[in-house]
Amino acid sequence: MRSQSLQREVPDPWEALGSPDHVSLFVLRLLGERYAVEANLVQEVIRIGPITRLPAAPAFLLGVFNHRGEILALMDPAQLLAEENTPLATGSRAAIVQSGEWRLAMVAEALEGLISVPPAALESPPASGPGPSEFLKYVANTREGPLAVLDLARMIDAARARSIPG
Amino acid sequence: MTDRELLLFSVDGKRHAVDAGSVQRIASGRDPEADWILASILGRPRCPRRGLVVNVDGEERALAVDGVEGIERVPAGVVSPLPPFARAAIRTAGIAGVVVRGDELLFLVDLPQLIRESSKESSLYAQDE
Repeated sequence: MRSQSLQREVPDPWEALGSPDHVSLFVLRLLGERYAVEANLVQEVIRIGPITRLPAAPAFLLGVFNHRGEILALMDPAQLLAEENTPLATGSRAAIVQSGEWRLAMVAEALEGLISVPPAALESPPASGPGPSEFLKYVANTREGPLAVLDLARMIDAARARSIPG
Repeated sequence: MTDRELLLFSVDGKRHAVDAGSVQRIASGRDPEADWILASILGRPRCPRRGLVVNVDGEERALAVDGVEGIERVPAGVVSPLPPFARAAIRTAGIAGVVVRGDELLFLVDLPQLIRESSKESSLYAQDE
């Protein structure tokens, strides 16, 4: 009975990807909290290969790596959110995301995967200011706890702006 | 697809590449003719034995390096541009691309640009002092 109830309340996120009744989110763990990006921005989950650090790179740009012949930039969102490092280990995973023209890989403490929520569950974030709320698109309370949905386009814009030497 | 000739060199324990055609000559550490750049975004050589001499805006400038490994001919396909996000995020235009060399990634350096930026930084530091 419980599983039937769960299925009604949380439909298969893959099916919900094209459904107007639900918003599919890709959940990841950063700074010990649950964050998400819109699932349609996530193209692939991969294990990170050896990273080559770039000279003159800001802290949020961890370096570049070779993914099946494509050179990808690796971003640490925790640096943008709170100027903290996401711990990386051999075999750490990353999500390849595409926002507009920008395709890059994002690290996280853990990648939890897809969930689906009704649009009504998404609320506006607290008033923005410096700090994580600056980069939030929505917040939601889900069965597994609070969730903050990242505004990936805004994060990328902010990252680029922070890189322009003052 | 044409091949490219890359000159491989090391600075501060890291290997890099530069288009061999952009290097006029390799100077020894005692060459008084060259205008030397000792530190750049690549770091400072631990033991600067050689200099890569390039023409920068009509003047000969030399980037001090720890060593020159030689020239390697590679298929043009192993050289990729920097990923757009990385290009937008780094604070230099002196990195022109990435060379895939087996499991190793080397940065392809735009040496004249790197030296221009290094000179600019040096003069800025000089003003601060």
